[in-house]
Amino acid sequence: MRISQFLDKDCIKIPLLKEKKYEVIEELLDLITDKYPEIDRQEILQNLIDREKLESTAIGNHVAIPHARSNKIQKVYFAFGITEKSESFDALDGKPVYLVFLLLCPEKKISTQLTFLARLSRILHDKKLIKKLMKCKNSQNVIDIFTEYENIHFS
Amino acid sequence: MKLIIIFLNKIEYLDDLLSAFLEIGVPGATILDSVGMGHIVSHDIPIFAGLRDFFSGSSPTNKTILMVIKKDMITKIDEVLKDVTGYHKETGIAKMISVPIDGLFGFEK
Repeated sequence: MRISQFLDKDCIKIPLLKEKKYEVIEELLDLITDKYPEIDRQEILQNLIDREKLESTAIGNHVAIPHARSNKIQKVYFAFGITEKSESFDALDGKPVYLVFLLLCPEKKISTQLTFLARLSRILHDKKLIKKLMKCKNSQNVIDIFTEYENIHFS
Repeated sequence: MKLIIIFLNKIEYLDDLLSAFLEIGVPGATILDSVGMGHIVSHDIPIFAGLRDFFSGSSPTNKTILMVIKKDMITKIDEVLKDVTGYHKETGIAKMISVPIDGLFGFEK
C-alpha cells in the first residue's frame, strides 16, 4: 500500500483556514464530501468525533490523523491539510498540530485501516519528512514528496 | 522430540489443562504470561484505539505453554486440549503448534 496513491489534489488544502480541532476536521471532510456528495457527511462527522473522543489521533511531531469507519462507504477516502495556527489537538507531546490527515475507511475493511494507519504513522516519525511537508505550498508538492519518499523507502 | 506451543486465550482452563497433562504423563511445561498483538496495538498505541471494538474479543492476557515431548505424545496432547477446552469447536479459545527439535541441551537423560 502506498499513501501517495491515495493523495488527491482536490482533497488537499494548504493552508487550512480553521484553527480549532473539530473545525479543522470538518474543513478536511468538506474537501471529500464536495468531491463525493454521495457520502453521508453527518454520519461520518459523528464517527470522526466519536473516535476523537475515545483518544486523540494527534500522534505527536505536529501530526494528527483523524479517522473513521462507516458501513455507508465502499472505498478509502483521504484528505490532507496544513494549518498555519492550530490548537494542540490534545497531542501526545503537547505540541501544536500543523499536518492533518483525514482517513475514511469502509466499516468492514479493518485490515485496510490498520495497514494505512500503520504505514502513515510510521512514515510520519521521520522528522525530515515532516519539515519538508510543513514547507509545502501546494497540493502537487505534497504528492511529489510522498511519492519520492515511498519510492526510496518502499520500492 | 517435539516442542509443543499452546496459546491459551481462555486462561480459566489452565488449571484443568495442566492437571490433565500430568495425568497423561507430560513431565513438565513452561507457562508464560503473554498478550496478543491486537490487544497491545489497540490499547497501548493511541492511533489504533479506534480498533478496540474489533479486538474486543481478545483477552487482555493469555498463557503460552511450552512443552518438550516425545513425538508420539502429540495426539494425546491434542485430545486433552480438545477435551478440556473444546478448542476444536470454537475459535479464540486456544491454538497449538508443534515444532521439530534438532537439539536438546540441559535436559535430563
